[in-house]
Amino acid sequence: MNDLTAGLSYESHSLTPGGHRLTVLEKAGLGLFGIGLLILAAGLFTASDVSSEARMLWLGLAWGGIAGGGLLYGLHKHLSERPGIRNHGKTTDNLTARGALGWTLAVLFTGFYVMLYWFPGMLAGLIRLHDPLSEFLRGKPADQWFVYGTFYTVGILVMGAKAIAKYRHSRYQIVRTCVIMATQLGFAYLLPALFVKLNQPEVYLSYFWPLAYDKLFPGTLQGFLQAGNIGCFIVGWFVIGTLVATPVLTYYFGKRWYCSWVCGCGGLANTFGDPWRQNSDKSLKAWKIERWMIHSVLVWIVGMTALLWFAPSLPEFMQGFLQTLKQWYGFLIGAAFAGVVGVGFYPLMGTRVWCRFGCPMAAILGLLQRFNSRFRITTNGAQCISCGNCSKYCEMGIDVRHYAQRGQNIIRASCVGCGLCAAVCPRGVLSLENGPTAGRYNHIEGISLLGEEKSR
Amino acid sequence: MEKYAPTTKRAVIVGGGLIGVEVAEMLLTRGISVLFLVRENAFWGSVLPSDEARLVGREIVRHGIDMRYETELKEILPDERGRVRAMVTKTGEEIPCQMVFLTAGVSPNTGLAKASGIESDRGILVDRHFRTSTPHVWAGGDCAQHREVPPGRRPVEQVWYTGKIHGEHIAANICGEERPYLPGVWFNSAKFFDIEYQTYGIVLPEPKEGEESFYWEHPAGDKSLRVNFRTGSGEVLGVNVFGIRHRHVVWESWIASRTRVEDALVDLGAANFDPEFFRQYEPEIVAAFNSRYPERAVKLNTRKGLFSAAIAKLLGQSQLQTA
Repeated sequence: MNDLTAGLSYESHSLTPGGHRLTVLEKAGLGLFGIGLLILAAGLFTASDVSSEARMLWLGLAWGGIAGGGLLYGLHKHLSERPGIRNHGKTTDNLTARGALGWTLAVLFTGFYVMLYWFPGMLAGLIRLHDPLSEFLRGKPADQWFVYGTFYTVGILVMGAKAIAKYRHSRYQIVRTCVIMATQLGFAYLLPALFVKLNQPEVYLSYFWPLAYDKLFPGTLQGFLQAGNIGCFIVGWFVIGTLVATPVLTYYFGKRWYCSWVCGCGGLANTFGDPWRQNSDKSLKAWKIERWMIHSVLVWIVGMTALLWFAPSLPEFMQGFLQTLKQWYGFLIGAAFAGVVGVGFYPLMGTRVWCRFGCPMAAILGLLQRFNSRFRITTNGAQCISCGNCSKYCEMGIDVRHYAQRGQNIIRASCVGCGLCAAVCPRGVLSLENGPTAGRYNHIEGISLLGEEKSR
Repeated sequence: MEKYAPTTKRAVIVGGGLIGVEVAEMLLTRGISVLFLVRENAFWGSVLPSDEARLVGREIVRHGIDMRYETELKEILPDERGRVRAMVTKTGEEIPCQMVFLTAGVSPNTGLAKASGIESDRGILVDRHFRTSTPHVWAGGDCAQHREVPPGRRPVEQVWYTGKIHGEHIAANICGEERPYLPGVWFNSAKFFDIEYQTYGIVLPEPKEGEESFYWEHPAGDKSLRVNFRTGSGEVLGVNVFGIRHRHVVWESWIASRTRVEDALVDLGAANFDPEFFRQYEPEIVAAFNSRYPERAVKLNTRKGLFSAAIAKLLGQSQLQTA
């Protein structure tokens, strides 16, 4: 078969039942989902003019349609198949393999983030539409960040339910996804809203410095301390979270305790972004770029935070420079990288672009995981058949197979411990394990790995 | 295959083994209904004991495949364009289909070797260094047949990983190293639709004289464990696991060091390689063992994972060896 006909045959099986054929219920689900989105879009232009009651009704219909339709589609799609890994259409599907649909979505996501960060005025109608919900939860009108939080939380909950259905053969994935969903809903949505309602600082307890880059800035901490007892608790929480919990938990469980169990960025990647996880670049070049980028961001934020603490004793010209540095960090890293690129590029570069190339928290956790942790992914003897599913599904772009083929443990700073490599392995070769640090690298060397006698 | 898939409604697979299952899975992803003909009365009966063969057979049927045991292909009928129209079984039943796959197994192609005067039997005969009867000609992989069969191995080894090891040995020997083939404990694995299978050591379809075979199956019928051991001494000879992942190094070490079945079962948790939070079945397995062999009854005491004492011991040994 020549290249031309090979291409044609690929075309043909997106039409024939190669991928997934939509059932009536799934079409209905997608229809409901679309109607919900259309109502939100209509709200952009009309919501400012209508009464609060009308907005409540339309908001309910919109999110009801999105959540109900999304659940109907997502749950039916996976529950109608037997539990287990299905790779159908992964590399050929228009939506998930960088086809026209994937590109369109990337442009839409990116556009949404650009409006959200820099042109929130364009979203005014949408924000007004959310006023009734914001009044109910927070006791004040909505702003763009409340709207964003609502999108984010619904995304994690609906797609989290879909991910649980999809990976329901793996209890690790079920437990982990439930925790991600609960953390987002509680710590990153309802609790901050409650704080606002009680006239306390709006604080997201699940985001630590330096991911939430200003959390340990002197100004931020002083602000919290002025808020009384709750403020003291918040300061204690973040200081202990960064200085104690991070190294201790990473020592015992690896980076995953945060990146795959707590963090909202990881939560969105592993639920909403799951259909695109395989699009991460696995090349050596990407790994090199990743290390330069992520550690540069780390140096920037650590240096800047330290300078801010010494700011009072710094000369005048440094003060101005520091302010500029802070503004640029907020614009380039905090908004453009973490938000616009981080989520906007899901369909093109996989789901962990920010976590992999930019997040300074991931950088710190990665260094701890690499040099001082009991965590590793164990390779099971010589059972690897080189199918490559593990590398394909790795959202961090780790060539897992390279290690598995050689019977080596996988200890990489970037591994977020999502556990998908172990879930998709058809031969039971990979397992996420915490164990003694002695012999963590390559502990099976010396045992007859390839079926050869030990005497040799 | 991709070209003909869109016009195929039904495909027939002849021969119950690993390749047949892979073909069946591929066909299902293209929405083609599959008829599976197996000559024996159970799936892969030449390798699997009947309990496991039935377990795999059930899994295949669960995925909507039409299994026909003790059925053989007589002839394939073409249409006017020379494409498959139907097939006929030995009992004379005519089954309409558009594709037929023959997956009866692999046999060495010795044509070239025989024509060149290289000694061959079922495969090309090689010594322990993979030398054939003709100087400077070497053979390895699926086509080679060992003159001296290593213990616990078959004369012709048709698994990908043995081919890889053969190749490494041949390269070393060609380069002047004297590297005889001394394979260790046999292992293999496969996946039948959603059920993973691993085997370590030797488990034959029927236990040999002087061997005991202990079999546990989960009531849901999709997980099982079989341990074969020597009657009397109790040394473990081999294990089959379906639907549970086990640790290669642990079983290899138990089998190589002739560990007693009682000692292995006490530490069975050390062999568990399933991901975290997975249900563990060791208590049920040990309880089943104790009720079948009350004279060998044991108490399970090792937990799963790298913290277990049994694994620490193994890893300790391996580090000594490395050092």
